Amino acid sequence: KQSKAKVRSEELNSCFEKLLTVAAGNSGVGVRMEGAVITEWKDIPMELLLRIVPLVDDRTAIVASGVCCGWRDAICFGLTQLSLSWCRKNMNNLVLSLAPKFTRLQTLILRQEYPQLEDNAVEAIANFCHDIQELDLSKSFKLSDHSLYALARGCPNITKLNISGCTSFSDGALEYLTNFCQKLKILNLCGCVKAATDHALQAIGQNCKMLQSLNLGWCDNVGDIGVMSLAYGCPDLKCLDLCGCVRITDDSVIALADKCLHLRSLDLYYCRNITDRAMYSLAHSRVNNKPSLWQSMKGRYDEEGLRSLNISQCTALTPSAVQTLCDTFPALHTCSGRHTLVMSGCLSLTSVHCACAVQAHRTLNTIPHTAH
Amino acid sequence: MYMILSLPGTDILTPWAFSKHLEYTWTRAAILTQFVQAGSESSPCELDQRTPLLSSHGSLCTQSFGGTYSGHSNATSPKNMGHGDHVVDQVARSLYVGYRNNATMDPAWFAAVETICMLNGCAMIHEALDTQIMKSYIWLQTVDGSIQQVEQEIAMFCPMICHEVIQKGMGSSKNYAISLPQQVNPAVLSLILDYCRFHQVPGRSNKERKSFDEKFIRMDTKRLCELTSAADSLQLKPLVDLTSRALARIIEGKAPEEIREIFHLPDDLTEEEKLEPLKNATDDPRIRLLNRLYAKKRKELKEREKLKNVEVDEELVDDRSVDDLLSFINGDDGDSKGIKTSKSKRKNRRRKDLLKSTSAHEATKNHNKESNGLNSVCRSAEVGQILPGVDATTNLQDVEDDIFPNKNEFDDGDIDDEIDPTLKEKIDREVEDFARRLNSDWPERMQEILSLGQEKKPVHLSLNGKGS
Repeated sequence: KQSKAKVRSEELNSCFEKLLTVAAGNSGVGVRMEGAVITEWKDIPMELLLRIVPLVDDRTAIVASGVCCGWRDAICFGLTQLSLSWCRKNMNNLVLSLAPKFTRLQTLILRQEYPQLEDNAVEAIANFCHDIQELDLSKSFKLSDHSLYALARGCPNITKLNISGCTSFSDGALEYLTNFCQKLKILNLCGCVKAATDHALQAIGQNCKMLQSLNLGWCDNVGDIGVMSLAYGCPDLKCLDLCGCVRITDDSVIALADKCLHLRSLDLYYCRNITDRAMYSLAHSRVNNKPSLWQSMKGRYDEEGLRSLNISQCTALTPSAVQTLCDTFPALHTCSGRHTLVMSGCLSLTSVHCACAVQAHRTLNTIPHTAH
Repeated sequence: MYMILSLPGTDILTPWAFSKHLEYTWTRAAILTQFVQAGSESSPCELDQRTPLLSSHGSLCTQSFGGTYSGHSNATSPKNMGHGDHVVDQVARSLYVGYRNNATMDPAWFAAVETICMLNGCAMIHEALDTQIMKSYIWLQTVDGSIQQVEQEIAMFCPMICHEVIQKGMGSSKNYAISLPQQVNPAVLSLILDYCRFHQVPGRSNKERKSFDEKFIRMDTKRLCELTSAADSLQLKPLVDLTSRALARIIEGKAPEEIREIFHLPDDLTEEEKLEPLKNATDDPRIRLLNRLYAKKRKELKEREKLKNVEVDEELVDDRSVDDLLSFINGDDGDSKGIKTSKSKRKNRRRKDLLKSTSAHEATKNHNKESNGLNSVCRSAEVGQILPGVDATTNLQDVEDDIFPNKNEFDDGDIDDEIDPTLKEKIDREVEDFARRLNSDWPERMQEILSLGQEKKPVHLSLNGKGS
């Protein structure tokens, strides 16, 4: 695979150079090469063209790649970001024709309004675009496991993958992917009910050690075993969305509190099984893990801790536990300006307030009435 | 005694001390005069060996020059102040002249000279020096070899020039002018300097700057490209961003052929490449049909080109004869009308030819026959109807309507060649358009493409807005 890619880039470079000698012959304008950068080409030098192309919309960039040989080569060489989400009907064909051209793509957004993408397009991407780092395939209802297998083989450098809404993926294929794409940092599996199982999460915990953000929204097959393996396997985890993962219990949160010390954002919406134990574990782990003064100066200790917590519909929680939590994490706010502690539907928790809300209240009362 | 002249603001002798020095240093003034002259003539200075007076490229340096001049005891007498005055005046003038002759002047010397002048009342020189010297210039050389000087604060706005001046000490004189990159020709340089001149002034509001930028950017595309390259080579990032954005706006939403036209790019992609998306689609016999259609269209265009060329040659001959006839017969009154009608005749002839040529190669022959026939018809019409001026035109119109029923299809214009390129453009656009449509709208458009011949107006793509 890699040698294929190397040959291709060599091919491209030699094509480039051949083109230049032709152009020099035709145009009469001197063409200079400094290293691999061309400095003169008719009216716009290529490096300036590559500065202009990121400023235009994606359709124009595609059109521009079909203007003339020079522009085609420059854009195919330099285009690293592309979004085709504006396609309504023909995204699949477009990807099929563009993947072989734009081989240096690093970011590719293929989120669809109407499902168009099929396996052959993803295979094309995997065959040609080995530099892909960010891939958004959300709402691709038509994709099957073949796509994941292809991506595993072709795109090992993926760091950000969004396959939310791809309901046909299975957990086996996802496991296979994680085996090869170990550089994953951000993974969105929202709604991937079949794919996000405890099994898959175990695989993620084993393979994707650099994972920082994981969205498991509405994946109701996720249980404690999965989340615990995740917590043990991914110490860098910062954001975890367990919205609608109804099987989760306190054990998951305790494991997270224990192992993921950089956790910033946690969403437990509708996780009805969560009790005060989970809240206290989060609070305690922070207190226990607070390093000595000089260590915290080094900056490794995350001063703010949890910055966002959603415990809406977690009706088993009591005010005292949540208040403790709110007091422990200075970034959790209930005030209207920075509403980062969300407790909708928890009628018993209305008395919980962040420090600034209390302060404001107090100040209001202490202002002397000098009006009259 | 040493006279140390240092940079303004640091360690300058107090006026009192300075004047004391002056009392004793009129000989030094003489020395100054001498070596200024020496500087401009590059002859060696016969002075104390310990005083390196000239740097390698003729600039005056701040050097402490020593040596006691104990021999000149008359220096102490107050009488010599007058003498000193005169010498100082001389010195000042020499320095000024030296500057005018493009010798490099160290700012420290000017500060010193200014002080001298102030103390001794050489007001005129002081003023002259003030305006000339305090404003320093930087010398720039463009790719064509021409050298110009630019005010320092304006030139230094460009990082590349700034770098050259500070790190390498270039730009201080004509001989040491900074060679600008090859993308910077004098015209573009003046544009860039206009930009710098406006923006280097600190006291402008954002609104002012923005409005200046918008007006500044209004120029033809070729100039804009040159400006972008030049600004990039001078590392003037704000201008590069401004021009890049303007070029991006130009490209946006245009079809490939339009872009080619604007930037004078060659149409060197093969037909296959233009229809490339189809390669990946299933191997369909309809694709081959499309390729054939495309090739056919191109062929037709080439034919039309050839015909047009032939036509032009023939026409010239024809028109001249008609015009001659008209002018000969009509004299003054009918002239304008005659010319107009002959022009429209030319157009009509061409229209007819174009319509004819779509069918076969025989068109060439037909056309020749037609034009000759037409010509004779027109001529006879003209000749017959010359005297009643109004009637002539109306009759001709009738004749034309009979022969050319499709007259209304095309635009009327004053330029003779307008019809042909318009049609050509139309066809080109059609072809490009369906190639574009193939790119994105393939399955649905197949029917439309197959009935390409019947299509009159290119249907606009129904793609959803802009992607980011």
